[in-house]
Amino acid sequence: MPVNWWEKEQRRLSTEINLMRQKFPQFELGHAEHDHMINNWSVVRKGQKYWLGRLKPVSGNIYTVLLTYPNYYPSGGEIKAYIVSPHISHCNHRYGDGHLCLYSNDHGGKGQGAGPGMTAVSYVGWTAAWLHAHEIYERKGVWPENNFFKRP
Amino acid sequence: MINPFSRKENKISSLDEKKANQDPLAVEDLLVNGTQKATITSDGRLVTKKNALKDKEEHIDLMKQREWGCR
Repeated sequence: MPVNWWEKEQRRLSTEINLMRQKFPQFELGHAEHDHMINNWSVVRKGQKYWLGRLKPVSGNIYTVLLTYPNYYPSGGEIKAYIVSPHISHCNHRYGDGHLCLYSNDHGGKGQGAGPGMTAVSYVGWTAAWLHAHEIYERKGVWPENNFFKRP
Repeated sequence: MINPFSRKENKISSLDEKKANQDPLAVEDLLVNGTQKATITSDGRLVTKKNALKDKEEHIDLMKQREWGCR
């Protein structure tokens, strides 16, 4: 019988919970009893662990954010982040299934991205940064980003 | 349609109470081309590390050289 990652990696789960309580206490850990669809995206599968909470960027707008752990964690995949509400229609820096594209590990690791030292806290932080970028995009029509290829 | 996740949100008031609203463009330089180090507050605001040190709230740092992935 397959063992869930949080049973196999109990210390890791405790670390994730403790860090989230310290840094983003408004988020709550959930366990999906069945599949969940949001905006026609399958965001959580039955049996997966997830974090749900709200973020409030400098604009004052409030976003509900969902972070889904993969079935095999931490070695078998990365956490996916979704904006549950309000619905964001543009597809800048998002994958086809709606989860946010938060980082790149290209360029010799110079970007801030996934790695063994990252936890759900890292992903919430990056999601907050993504929301700031989204709100700037809504105002200016241009996504604020560093581009390694255009740097002098 | 019922939002299956809505029941989990039980700390709305604490988030609503925090800080006055600000123009998002005011923090653009914390994402790109600026010289100040950026950090994220617990409610999700992007602020300078210098300002973050003034209060006792937990923050996480954001690397300026971070790069977004797919477009």
